[in-house]
Amino acid sequence: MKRKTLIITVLLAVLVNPAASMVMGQNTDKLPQGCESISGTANITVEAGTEHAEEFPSKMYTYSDRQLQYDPCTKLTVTFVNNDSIRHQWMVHGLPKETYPMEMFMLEVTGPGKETGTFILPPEDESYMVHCGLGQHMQKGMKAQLTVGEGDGRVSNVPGHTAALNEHSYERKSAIPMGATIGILMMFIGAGLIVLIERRTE
Amino acid sequence: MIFVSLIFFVSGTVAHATGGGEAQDFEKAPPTQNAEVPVPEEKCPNQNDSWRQAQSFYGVHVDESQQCMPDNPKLVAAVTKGTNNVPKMDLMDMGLHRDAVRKGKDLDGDGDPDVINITLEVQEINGRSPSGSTVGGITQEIAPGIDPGFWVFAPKTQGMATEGSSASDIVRAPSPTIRVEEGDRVNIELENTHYFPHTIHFHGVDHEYMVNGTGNDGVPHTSEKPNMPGESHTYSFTPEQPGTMFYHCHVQPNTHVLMGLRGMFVVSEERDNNTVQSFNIGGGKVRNPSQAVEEEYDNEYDMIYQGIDKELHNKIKESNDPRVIAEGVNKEYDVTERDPDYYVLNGKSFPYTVRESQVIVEPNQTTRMRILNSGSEAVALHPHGHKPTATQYDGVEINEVARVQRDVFDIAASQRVDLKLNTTENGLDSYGQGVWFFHNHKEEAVTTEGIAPGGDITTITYESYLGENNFPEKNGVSWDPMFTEKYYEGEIPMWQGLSDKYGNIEVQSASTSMIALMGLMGLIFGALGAMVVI
Repeated sequence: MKRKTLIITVLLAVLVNPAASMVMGQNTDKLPQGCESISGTANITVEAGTEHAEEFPSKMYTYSDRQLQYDPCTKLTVTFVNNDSIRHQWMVHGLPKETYPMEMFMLEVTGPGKETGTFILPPEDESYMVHCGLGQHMQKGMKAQLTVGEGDGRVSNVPGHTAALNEHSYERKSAIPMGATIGILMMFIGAGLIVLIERRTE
Repeated sequence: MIFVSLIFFVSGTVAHATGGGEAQDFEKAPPTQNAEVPVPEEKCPNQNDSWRQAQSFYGVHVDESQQCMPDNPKLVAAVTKGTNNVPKMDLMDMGLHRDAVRKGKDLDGDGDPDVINITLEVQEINGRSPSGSTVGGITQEIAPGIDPGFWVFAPKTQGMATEGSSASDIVRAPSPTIRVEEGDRVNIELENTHYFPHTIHFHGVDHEYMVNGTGNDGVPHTSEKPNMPGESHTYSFTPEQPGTMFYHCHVQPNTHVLMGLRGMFVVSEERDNNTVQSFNIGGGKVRNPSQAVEEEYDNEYDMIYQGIDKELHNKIKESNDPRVIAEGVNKEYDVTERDPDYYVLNGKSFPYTVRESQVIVEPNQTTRMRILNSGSEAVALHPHGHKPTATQYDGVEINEVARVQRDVFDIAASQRVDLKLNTTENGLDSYGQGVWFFHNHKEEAVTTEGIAPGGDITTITYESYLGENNFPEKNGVSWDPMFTEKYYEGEIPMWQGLSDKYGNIEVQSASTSMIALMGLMGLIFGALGAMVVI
């Protein structure tokens, strides 16, 4: 009876939402070149959606965890929870081609819903960019950094961690009139000083 | 003042008395210096010749398309068959999500599906690129070097939706034409993947105001709350009136519609075995016309016109902070001072229009051209060499005796007109075969920021005039300069190559006396300044 219910539930889930999620680049056992063995296992749950961006006034979408660090050759299992009613991804780029033919690991979920996938981190210290593949989501905050070992630098535009390289300047509006006023004021002071010095030397 | 006026008066009188003054020695004007024309872009880039042929996929026949850059026939077949009936790998190759258009039951047993479930996302094109990343947002040039920002509705994508990804081919301006059949139960889910609130208003499509207690008209001030980022909303209706309609976002329409959240919506006449092409990405030739169109016409084209004021469209390039963009588009941009810089047909300006939106015909054919003016300015559409007949206005059929045949059609903002183009050479319907310009006759609309030819010009091209890569084989001047950015920057004189009489004038170095005069004036001002200070 229980089994029947389970089968019906699974069938219904598939029929109602046939493509709610997917995993790409899943790798549970193939060691990346240079890894002699799996150094450890780790399980994380990362949530995604607009609610996580609420603490960042200039962002629209982001992840619950944006800074992850693991030892090389760790077997990492990620459960990706999408709290929005649209699709999001948790995608790691630049993985070694021999092990990951598409050079990436990706979880995609049309929410609300979740998906779990596993991959094995490469042996070198490197900082990988994690992002959502919808360009505008990445631009508006959906980026994270996955550091393997000590990493090799920092990924830009990770909310709460690093700035964007072409960050908007908030000084733009107030700075111009204020700067101009101060400039004019300084000119008057400068002229006054010269006059004062000239008179004194006379 | 009086003294200066007196000098002018006296000198003028003297000059007049001497017949214009003493004749001066002849001095040769500076010579013409032609601009260097860069190597033009390829006229038909990334071409796949096999895409032009008539072919079948998934049991769906896709008509031949003679365009220089035709639509991917497999994509046409997939969105006709329904993405729920297409292999997963094919969907991945095309960047199409399985939910893009799911086709359900044949309720009336007439051989075509009647439950149509469409999912649309909201995507940004030419936005501010993410920093320090090799992964860029989706881009689209409307003409060489010109890439105003757009927001569009797009069929739900799969995988990456960034520049160069499979999905980037289905995310483009204008938003896709959506086709359904009269009497279909249509459910359109809007997944708001954007950073602003949005809705969809189905303009001209008969729909209920409320469905299951939820707003279904898309107007946030009367119907329903706007669909916020990360949320989704489904619109449901069963259209009973066939015709060429319109769909657009109704949140801040003064900017959201103009930014590109608008497209053509076609309700096809009910027929047996009438599985319609649910999306026509980027408009243009319909490669799988409905049964009713096939009965009466040889070709069908979707043609969507709009003007673009770059001041609005560039706001999304200034920042990635939604507050800055909201202030830019809603407050700083004043639509009452609108002043379009570009005019596009199916998201492209001339000469790019000719790559994918030529109207290609043969003699003695009839072509249905569905025209949508999705912009704010009226369009005065003029085909050279032909006088088509308007058969429908705003999706309503015109009584046969009242139909008007003419060569300029006024099309108001958001108006649709269906034109029947007859290529019978009789001096009235058609003047004969050739490569005929087809454009909005408002003169600014045939330019790109004032540089002609540009804007929404395309051609009615007879097949016998198609040349290499199915580009028009024409007489007249070369189009090469127009395939360079420099031309639309105004750097290449318009008639360069025709005659040196209209070329650039060689820049002359300043004369010694002018330099000396400037130096002297600088000296005087400097001295005066010093005197004031001391």
